[in-house]
Amino acid sequence: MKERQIAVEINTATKIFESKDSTVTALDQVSIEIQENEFFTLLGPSGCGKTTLLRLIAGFEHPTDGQIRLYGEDITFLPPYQRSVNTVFQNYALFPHMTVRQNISFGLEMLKYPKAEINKTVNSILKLVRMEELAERRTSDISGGQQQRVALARALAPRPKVLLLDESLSALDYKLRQDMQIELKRLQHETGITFIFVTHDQEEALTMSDRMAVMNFGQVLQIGSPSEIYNFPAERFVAEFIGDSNFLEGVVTGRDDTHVRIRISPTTELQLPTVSTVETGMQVTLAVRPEQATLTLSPSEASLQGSISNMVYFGTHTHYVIKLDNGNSFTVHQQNLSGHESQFKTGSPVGVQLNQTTMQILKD
Amino acid sequence: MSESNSLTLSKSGRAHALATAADRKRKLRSYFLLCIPALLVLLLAAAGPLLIVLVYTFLEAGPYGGVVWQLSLDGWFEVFLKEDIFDGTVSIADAHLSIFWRSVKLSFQSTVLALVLGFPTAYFIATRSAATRNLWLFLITIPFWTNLLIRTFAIMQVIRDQGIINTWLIKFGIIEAPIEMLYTEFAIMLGMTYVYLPLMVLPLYASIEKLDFRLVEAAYDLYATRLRVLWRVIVPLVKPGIIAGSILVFIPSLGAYVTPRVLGGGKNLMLGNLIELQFGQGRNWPLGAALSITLLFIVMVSLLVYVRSTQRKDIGHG
Repeated sequence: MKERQIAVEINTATKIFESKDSTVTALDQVSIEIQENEFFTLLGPSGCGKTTLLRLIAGFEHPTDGQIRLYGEDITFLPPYQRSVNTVFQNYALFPHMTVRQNISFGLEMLKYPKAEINKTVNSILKLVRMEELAERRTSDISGGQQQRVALARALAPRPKVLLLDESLSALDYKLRQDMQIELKRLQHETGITFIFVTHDQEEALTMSDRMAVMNFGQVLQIGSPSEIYNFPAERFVAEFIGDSNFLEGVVTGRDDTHVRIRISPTTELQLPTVSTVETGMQVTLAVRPEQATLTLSPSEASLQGSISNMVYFGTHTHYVIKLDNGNSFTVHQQNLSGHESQFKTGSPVGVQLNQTTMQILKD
Repeated sequence: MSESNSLTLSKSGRAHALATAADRKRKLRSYFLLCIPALLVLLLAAAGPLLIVLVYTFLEAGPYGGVVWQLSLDGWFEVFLKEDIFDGTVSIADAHLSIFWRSVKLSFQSTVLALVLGFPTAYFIATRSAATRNLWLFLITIPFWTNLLIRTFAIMQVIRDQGIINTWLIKFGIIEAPIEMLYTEFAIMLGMTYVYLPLMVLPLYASIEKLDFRLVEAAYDLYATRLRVLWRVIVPLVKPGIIAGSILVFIPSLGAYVTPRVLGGGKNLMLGNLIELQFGQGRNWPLGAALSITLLFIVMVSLLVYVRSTQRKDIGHG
């Protein structure tokens, strides 16, 4: 397959905000390559630097150090109006003194397109976001979801090389948000534009992204596809932030070419596929997804022993909280077999079977 | 009594509506009572005198000033027409008309200049941090501490033939003879701009401060250069401030008295000076009164035209 072009290249970008009484490093040596026609998500808690990175790409801020390239061209210090990058703002920032149509045609007018072409493009984009009937309305007279669509249309109309979306769905209610998620994927598919999406919602990131970067404290912790990041989190923060995880402390007791042995309790030693970063004697943390462990009624055969302290029924599956014998809690999500009453009861002693190929050894 | 009834029946919706209606009535009454002092001041200080001025326009001039209580249209006649003393022919009062024209022209120029100077100033203040903003606003109000006459004389020192500007220009060899600025229409215009500039800056500041700067970012993002962001986004959104500031500068400029008197040197009369002249040396109170009402009329027409034209642009956008 042909190698896809790099649309946006962020090269060791650093952003330091200085004021009289404080210096904040919002971005610390961040490097990311985003491919053409990719739906790329920047995910992290608030204050992690994801919005700062977006503003650097849009041109509202300039990095203290490092470069930003758009299809190879250095755009680090270009003003926003000279880069083919458009933003869908968190609060939409629609022009209140213009109609829906005027908002959408604004970018094209600024690029000095001929009038006939502007009209044609705006009409087709109105159709794309299904807003034809409301074209002559004021932006203050339409609902939040419609404003969101106008903001999208306005940013898409000039056909930017890259579209930036800043927490653009967070103001919508749940149902509307799900519709917009589907809509966004459709638009991205139909326009072929590279989307860079900023969110703090891990579920949104997992469902929508082709690839994503998990950020915290101004640094990129891990870049990969949603399934890579979910199944193989590189750090404890990633495993905690995305989905639920159980953490087990252990000591490496030995390793060979194919396996590493980790003792997690005086009586239990696990054999895991080897990882190059660990050595014998090291303290490590193991991450176990709740759905990757199974409960058994014969504790002696399992890796961990304890008793059920809480169970919550979710229809397709049940969440069990196990109080382990060493005092820690462990969560297991187990699928419900149709027509069967669960064989596990609150308080019953159980064992937890670990799937040794899906566990992650994390650097601390 | 209906109030106490409605209170006991307040559970039913009808009774509740009655109660709120009574409540509203009572509130309106107390609002009205609270307005009485202000209404009295308005009546005594504004409406009353204005009515007297209007009545004076239809009376005959007294020989030593004042009016004679006899119906006459001479006052109004003299606003627009003049009668030759020798042959009695009637012609248009071109001296008055040129003063009307000068007043409107200079006031308009002052307003535009105040807007051009005031907009960047207001923008600058509105974009400072909250703490320093108050300091800048405070600085804007400092000229109000000084008497208007003293400020006007200060301008004289700047623009007269031996003033700061001419002295320096000659010193650096840019000009050989001083540029005549004092006692010209330019001096009046400059003076009025200086005096009324704060009245432009303050409402502009109030509008710009409320401006959502994310909209400015959005426009930059959509390929608008700085100038286009100004014209297409900032100016339309701060239009209320521009309108308020323009009105606050234009109206007092139209009736200005001290500034044209001092900086115009008696050669370049404006409406305010003409009116004063009729009540003073001219001893023609009906004419002075008719000129005052004419000034009021010019103000109202200008406002109407201005507000209408800005509204029409709005409709054009929608």
